[in-house]
Amino acid sequence: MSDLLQVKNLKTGFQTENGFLPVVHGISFHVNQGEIVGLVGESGSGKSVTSLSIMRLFHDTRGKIADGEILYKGENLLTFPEKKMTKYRGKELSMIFQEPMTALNPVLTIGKQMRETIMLHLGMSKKEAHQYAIEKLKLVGIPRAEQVMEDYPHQLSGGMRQRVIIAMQISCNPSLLIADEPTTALDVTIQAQILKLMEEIQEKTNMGILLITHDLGVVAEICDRVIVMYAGRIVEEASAVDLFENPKHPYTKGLMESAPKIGSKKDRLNSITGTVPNPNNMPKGCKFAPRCPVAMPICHEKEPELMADGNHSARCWLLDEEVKKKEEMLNA
Amino acid sequence: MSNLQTETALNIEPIKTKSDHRFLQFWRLFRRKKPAVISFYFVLFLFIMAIIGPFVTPFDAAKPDYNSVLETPSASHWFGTDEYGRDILSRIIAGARISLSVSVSAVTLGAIVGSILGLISGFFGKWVDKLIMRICDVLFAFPELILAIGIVAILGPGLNNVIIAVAFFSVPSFARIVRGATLEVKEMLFVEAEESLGASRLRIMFKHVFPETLPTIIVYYTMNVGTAILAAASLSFLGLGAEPSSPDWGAMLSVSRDYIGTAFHLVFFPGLVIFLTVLAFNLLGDGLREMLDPKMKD
Amino acid sequence: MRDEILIEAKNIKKHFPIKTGWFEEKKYVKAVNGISFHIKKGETLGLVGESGCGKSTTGRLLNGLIQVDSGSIIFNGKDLANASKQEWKKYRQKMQMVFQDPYASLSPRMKIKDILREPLDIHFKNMSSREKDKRVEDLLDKCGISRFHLNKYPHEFSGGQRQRIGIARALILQPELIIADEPVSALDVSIQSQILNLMKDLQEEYNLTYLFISHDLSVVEHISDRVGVMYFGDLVEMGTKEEIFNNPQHDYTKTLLSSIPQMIPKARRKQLT
Repeated sequence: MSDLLQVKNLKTGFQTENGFLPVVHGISFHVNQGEIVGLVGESGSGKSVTSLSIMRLFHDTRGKIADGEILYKGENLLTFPEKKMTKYRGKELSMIFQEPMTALNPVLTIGKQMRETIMLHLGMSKKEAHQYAIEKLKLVGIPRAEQVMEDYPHQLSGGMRQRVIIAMQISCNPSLLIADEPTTALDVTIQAQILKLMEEIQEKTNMGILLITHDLGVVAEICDRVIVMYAGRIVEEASAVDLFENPKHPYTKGLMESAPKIGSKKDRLNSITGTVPNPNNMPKGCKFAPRCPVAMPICHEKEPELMADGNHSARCWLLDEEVKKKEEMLNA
Repeated sequence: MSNLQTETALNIEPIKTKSDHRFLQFWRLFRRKKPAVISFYFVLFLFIMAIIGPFVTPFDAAKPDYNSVLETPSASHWFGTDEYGRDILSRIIAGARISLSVSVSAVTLGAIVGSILGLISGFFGKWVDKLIMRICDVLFAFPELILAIGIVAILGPGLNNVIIAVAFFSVPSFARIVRGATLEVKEMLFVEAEESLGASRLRIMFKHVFPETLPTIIVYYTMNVGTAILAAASLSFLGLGAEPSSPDWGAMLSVSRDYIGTAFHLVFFPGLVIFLTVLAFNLLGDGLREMLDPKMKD
Repeated sequence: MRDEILIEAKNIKKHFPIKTGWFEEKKYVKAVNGISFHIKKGETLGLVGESGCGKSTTGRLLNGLIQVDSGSIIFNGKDLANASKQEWKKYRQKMQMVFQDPYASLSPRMKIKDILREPLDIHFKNMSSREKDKRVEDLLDKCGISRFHLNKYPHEFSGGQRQRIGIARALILQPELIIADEPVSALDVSIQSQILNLMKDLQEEYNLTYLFISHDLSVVEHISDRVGVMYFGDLVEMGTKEEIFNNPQHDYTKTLLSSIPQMIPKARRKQLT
């Protein structure tokens, strides 16, 4: 098992007027070559900040990586000088954003934007780059690719734009692709196409993909392994099959039950009560305890560690045998 | 509905911010902008001088003293004396009231008329908008000062007419800027939401759109006071504003330009005060804009 | 009671002009291209479709925020086409909207108390201040917002709480019809289910009729009694929820249904096929 990306104890936060506000609290995970890993969470879970940390795309915000290591093929990205990092972005690690329009320059043609990246990273001549770009556009299923090269971003539909971005991001054969909510702004029918495309490309190129999303349905669709985040922490990690068939953390269970399912006859949804805690005002123990339907006294006191059972781990006291036994004795 | 209440019992905790009062939050952020804060204190000082000035001047601003004519700055006369031996510092302090009252009332007048026109223009659009904007375009075609001179020439010299002239040329710029803000706010969803509730157009315009344009107006108002001080001083300098013998800053400059070679301080101090005041209003306006304009927030 | 028709749209049409050059022929976007449907009292009609299909425009046409080009809207047996401004104001009382973006649909400089009192100030000029306050407080309770927050501003609330306030505002005039335009699309899944449950409870309690506009088929399936599918300004299919989801007729409906991500992991799906 070769680790393509390994994140170790990453702590990221924002510099505010009241001091440093941590958003990601020491998370560790890895992405293997040829694997699609889903990073799931609601707003405020820290999933997007995690992706920005890996790409080190923080310079225009107050974001700051406080601690940890991000190993890409064994090298710590955090120790790279900015110049080296710039070379890696686009060539080794690529990123796809939610809104395809903002990732494209509105005043340049698709062709010019693609050629520039390719010429920069692969050192091709203009002519070679042009041909190469057309090839890549065809690869992502764009019909009449030659014409699209001459188009400006606004002349394309949302789905087409996202395809162009994918073509652009994979044009330099990166080993790792980070996709931050790549289908959230798209219609369902287009979403289905884009997800299928990502899966196909992954199979063809054998790259690793880190897919960040709030939508468990999207995760089920293409991911091999899933990491669930809540309030800046990993609360559960498992293979997709294990997670969907045997979720261990009450939060994961809650998420699955609160999404309406077609064909279910239920009149009311089992929703999770309350809201995500404010980073300024985190609960003391388990961060999910105030919303948890099965919280025990210890949950409000002490935060549990991530407890592993084979390849399936969850951050919940219920998985601790001793605590469970004590609880049962109290109830008896 | 009992299950509904238990379900949401946890939902009632609002997001906590460090201080509840909006003004305090505003002030905490504003305090970090040093030039704006210094300007704020300077402007505050000017206003205090305008109010209590006559009671604190070291000498009578109007009383000539022929024993000390054209004296250079000294321990007793910090800014020196003019050709009639009047203390320049005292005259500048006394002049603060004239300059500020002229510029503030002119800009207030211009802001009220201009904002209403801009609000109507932006909110109702169509021919009303076209008419108002074309009139503004015509007014914009004149250089501001020429326009003001023309107005004073028609109405006759005097401070009241200076106020009208300066107000007149600030109307179109307020109209245009408020129209822009109105167009932006008009497209916001909450305006549509109000319409769907059945609110009348006038209610939406004054109760919902106008408050949203207020920050823009405040910022522009502050900056315009600076411009108005300069314009009023220019008109006085040209002999169209304040009486030459009054301690108006522009008039002081005008009278003393004959002494520019022999007694430099006569021109220097009133000029310096005008410069500092205009600068302070502009910096204050800039600071406020960074605070209030959502587009400039990070 | 359930068979009484509350609102009916007959062949309504709305085309928006596109800006073209001076000498070119005028072009139009056919946002709503002559569609007809009705909603019965107490039921929920779901309107699904993808972006640009005209579903939001349809909602705004019913509410009179946009005027129809042709066709008629009949509310409680009265044709609204020739209604005067005064009459429209009266109808607005009876049909209210809930918007997608709870961040943008509340006036940012008003306190919650004032936002909720506003509709009463507009429509019930004679109501006493005390009575208004009581109504506001009661409804906020129902919508799960404590009355301690009356003096707070919208930015002090989370997205879900704001949508609750938006719903409370829509209900304060005791309307019969609620037009909800993507009311849960901007919310997190866990919050989304809270709001959907709230809307169901309120419907039962006040016998409300909903027009529920959404791009999310699973949400529409959950909340609706009948469903209409829109595609490029046309209503391509209409039927009970069971008909649409179990036995879709139109090709577009079929494509739409097959695109919904299932909560079945990839590996399992591959085993099944």
